[in-house]
Amino acid sequence: MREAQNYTWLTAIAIVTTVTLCLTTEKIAHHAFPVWSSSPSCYDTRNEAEPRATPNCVYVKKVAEAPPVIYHLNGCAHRTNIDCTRKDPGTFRIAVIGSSIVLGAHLPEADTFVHLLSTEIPQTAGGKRVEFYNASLGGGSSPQWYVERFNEILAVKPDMILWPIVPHDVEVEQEPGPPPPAYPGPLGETRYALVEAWKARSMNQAMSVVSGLIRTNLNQTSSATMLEHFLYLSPTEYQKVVMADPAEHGFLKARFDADWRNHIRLFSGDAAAIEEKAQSAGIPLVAFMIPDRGTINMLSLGSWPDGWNPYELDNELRRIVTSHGGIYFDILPAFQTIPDAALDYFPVNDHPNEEGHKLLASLIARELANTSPLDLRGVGSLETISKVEK
Amino acid sequence: MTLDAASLSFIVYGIFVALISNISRSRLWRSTVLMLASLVFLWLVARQPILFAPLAGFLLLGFVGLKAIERGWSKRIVWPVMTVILVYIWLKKYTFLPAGSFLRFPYLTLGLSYIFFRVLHLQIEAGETRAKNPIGIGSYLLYTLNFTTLVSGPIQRHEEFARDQFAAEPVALTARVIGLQFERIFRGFFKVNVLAAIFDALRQDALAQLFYPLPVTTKFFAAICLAFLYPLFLYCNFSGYIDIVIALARLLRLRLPENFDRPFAAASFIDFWNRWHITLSGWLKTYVFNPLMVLLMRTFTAPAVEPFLAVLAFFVTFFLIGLWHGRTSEFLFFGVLQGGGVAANKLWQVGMARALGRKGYKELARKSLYIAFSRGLTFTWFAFTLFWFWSSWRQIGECFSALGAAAWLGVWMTLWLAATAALEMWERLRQALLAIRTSSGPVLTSRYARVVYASAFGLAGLIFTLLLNQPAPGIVYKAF
Repeated sequence: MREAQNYTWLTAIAIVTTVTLCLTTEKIAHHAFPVWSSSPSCYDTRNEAEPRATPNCVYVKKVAEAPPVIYHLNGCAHRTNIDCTRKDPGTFRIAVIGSSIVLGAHLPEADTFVHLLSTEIPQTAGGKRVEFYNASLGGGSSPQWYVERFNEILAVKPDMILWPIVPHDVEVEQEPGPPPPAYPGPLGETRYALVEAWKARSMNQAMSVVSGLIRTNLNQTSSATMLEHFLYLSPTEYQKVVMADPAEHGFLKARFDADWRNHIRLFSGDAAAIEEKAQSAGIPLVAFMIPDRGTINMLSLGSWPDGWNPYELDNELRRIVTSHGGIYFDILPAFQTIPDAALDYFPVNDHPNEEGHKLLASLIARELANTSPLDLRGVGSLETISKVEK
Repeated sequence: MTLDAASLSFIVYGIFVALISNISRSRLWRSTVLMLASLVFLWLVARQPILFAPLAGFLLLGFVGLKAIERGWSKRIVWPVMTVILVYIWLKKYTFLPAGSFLRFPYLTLGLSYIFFRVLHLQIEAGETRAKNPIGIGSYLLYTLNFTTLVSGPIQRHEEFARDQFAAEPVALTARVIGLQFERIFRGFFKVNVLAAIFDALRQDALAQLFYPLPVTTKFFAAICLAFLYPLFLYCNFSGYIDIVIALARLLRLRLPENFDRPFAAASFIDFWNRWHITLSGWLKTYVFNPLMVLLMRTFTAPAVEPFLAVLAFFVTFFLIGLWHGRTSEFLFFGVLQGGGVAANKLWQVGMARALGRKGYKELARKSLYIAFSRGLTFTWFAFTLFWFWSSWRQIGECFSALGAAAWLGVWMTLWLAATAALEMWERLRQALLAIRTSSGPVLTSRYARVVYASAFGLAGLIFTLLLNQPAPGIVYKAF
């Protein structure tokens, strides 16, 4: 009897320990990595096919790994204080299009690479003042979106379009398929997957469904963000995480799988349409790839296992852009000489931090000087590249 | 499903087998379950029969040799033993053998090293006792293929295995024992999947930093991290796995020998090897050191040389330990460093005993400052030798040229001081915590405290594993 009572106590201690640890960790994580935003957001991405931004809107957003940031949109719903309706005749305006990295997500506007480019590029080029205009809509935008609403870009009267492409821009390219089947009831999708696993008599499949469900819920917690934040500071650990998920990082493989080949095929179509519209408007288009944190990490570590190649997507994008008459330059090789370059990105949310934007501005300015149709000789001091010699 | 690692699948598999095994206490039932579980384990690791052919051949060869010794067909045990050693070296593809002599198809060598020790142990013991305790094929296969000890040991003696496996009344499995085993499983899982994984990542980061264009001070710190972290990683990786298998075997009512006894508390390199991979060093002491000492003492009878004979025997024994770890020249040198370390330690003991007298040396060795610095030196030497364990000559050359000789000397001196301070603090903290006692013993080892940290380890291990969603980390000693 006494022994049985003892085991009840031990079980209670185990439960109390587990619950206390979970709650305490979550409380600490929530305090250390708070997330909030003023509402309503200036960006409406509820309809994925048609994301919208509100003109003349101001809002504040705080993501877990970055301080609160004010987003101030101009009359054309672009994150810049440049007036989109007017352009000084003595100005050479470069409109920068792209997704959230171009927008400068999670950083004040003054710290974004688009803004910093103005200080890196000489004040005048070909007798005109160079002005970088951030025409990004953020994470909701996609190449297809720019094809459909290219007029909105032309409306800001650009003299040149600069298109930084991130792997996500390619990944979002999908064939419009049938709507996903509805799974009614709580855990509908999980129940469906478990039934499928049962039909396939696959224990592994069933286990991966259950662990996937736990992981999905775990990832919603601040504790997960905190733990990942610290773990991903290690380049080696992050590389392992990247390689453990080839589905999400298929663009880093030396040979693309069927899904990625399809993404690239669709992207190629949209890139052709964008370049054609730019050519029709007589505006030169310059593109390049901004690597994600996984790519930079691999480049910075200096080696990658067989079957992986961080340059593969860059090569593919160059082929696509140049085949349609656009100009393309590379900033990837520079990362191979920069120690711990992945630390210039927020570990979990995968966007460049302040240092990352500085570095990007320097690298882009240097390449723009060499490849753009503008005469930008004598470009910037490239001060931030001196990181390499740090 | 990764069964040959400290994975959740392996733990679930082990617990499932334990549940089935405990349905009946009969010897036949338990042995049948263990045999089937071991065969299924092998099948799940590699599902092609051809992969098992060399391993099966090796087992058959070992058994034939064993029978030859038991039945007196072979007058001298040296021939079967030598055959097993040579075939082992050939199957493991030691680089000093001609490459053309090796089998051309891929095959499974998982657990071969540990099977090798068990087979040799059986043959040598059979030579001592002849046909007194003949071993049947079932017992032989159960002992050599036991899935709990197949991948990385520990190397159990057959009589210990048979005592538990074939006992009419198997060892008791009370609720308290079960609780302790689960606590150990959680602890082992945490060691391998959390601590070892973090240490390994930090070590690899430090290695990468050595080759970056960074200031010398940064590289200096990276070199210290590199040297300091690998022993910790290896300990957590190996001892964590051993914790899991010892606990799973206990749930199967098998008591496996301990393989670690706080090795970094050792104040000498000889003592270190009494605490690190205990079953391997114990095996070699029994079958190499002791016979060699007897042989040397019979050959060189002068009392004055006796201490130096021990130095030689130590060198040979620990050189073989190093050599066993791998088949390349790096491991040959690793063996020289292990043997050299132990031999130098013995020489130091002999020299100090002569200089200070036995009593004086004993007094010195009891001083806490001497112990602290000796502990730090032992750790540092082990960390140094491990460069030839995880690296290649080319990489070692690159590492050393990344800093230069003087800086590396500084690294090792700093590591010695840092290890001395860190390990001393750890020992004092441990003593202070264990000094908090109730009438039934230290609070930290009470069942209540164990439940608290087992829950914490289990939770941390599970969250870490789920979050990172990576394959279970490999067990370093699986490769040997």
